[in-house]
Amino acid sequence: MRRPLPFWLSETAGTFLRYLAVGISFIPAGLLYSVAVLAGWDHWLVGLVCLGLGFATASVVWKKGEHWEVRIMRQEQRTGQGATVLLWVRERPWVQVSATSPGQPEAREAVTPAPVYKPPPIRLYQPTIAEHQ
Amino acid sequence: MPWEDWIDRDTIKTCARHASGAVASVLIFLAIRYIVRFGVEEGLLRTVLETTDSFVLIGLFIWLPYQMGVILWNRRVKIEKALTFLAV
Repeated sequence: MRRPLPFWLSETAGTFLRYLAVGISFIPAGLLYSVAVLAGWDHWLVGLVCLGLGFATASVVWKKGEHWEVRIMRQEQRTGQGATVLLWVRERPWVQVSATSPGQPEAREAVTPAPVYKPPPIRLYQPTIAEHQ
Repeated sequence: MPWEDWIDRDTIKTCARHASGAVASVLIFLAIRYIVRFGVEEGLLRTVLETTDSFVLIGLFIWLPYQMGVILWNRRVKIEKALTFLAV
């Protein structure tokens, strides 16, 4: 059974994901700035230009993040409890991460499936008694 | 009018949500910085990683207030429109 957790938790997770994406989007500009620093162009103007570049990338990523939606669901099973985090992009599920706790041992035993009888493999060629002799 | 009516709970919730999201991502990048500082030997790679991480942190520290300002501004406009509609 799946039940949604409080809405604010999903909202906060979605916002966190957007901020994380913004942080990652600053990496190319940061790499450019570090190369400039290593090359000896550590002028404040270079830093400003790189920051502008980073902001341009970040605004694109932030706009894309409008279509992201995180849904955190609580799973209650006989085997234990767990949570599922679903990332929806443009109203379609994209990534799903699930985690479940082991639960009580008697509950686990109760749902353990019975051993399934496995028939022996079918042999198409049956040797006759005459062939054995 | 009771003073509670002056509190816009939705705005406070939005601000808190954005602040916690931003703080969590900043903490992740700070953790990466400390891992780099203590885990990577001094050299070219460490310089590049530290400079990039500082750049990302500066960017995030500027992005948060900017985004907060945009959200609050949009909200103010929305509230003003609603008040105008109610007045009419």
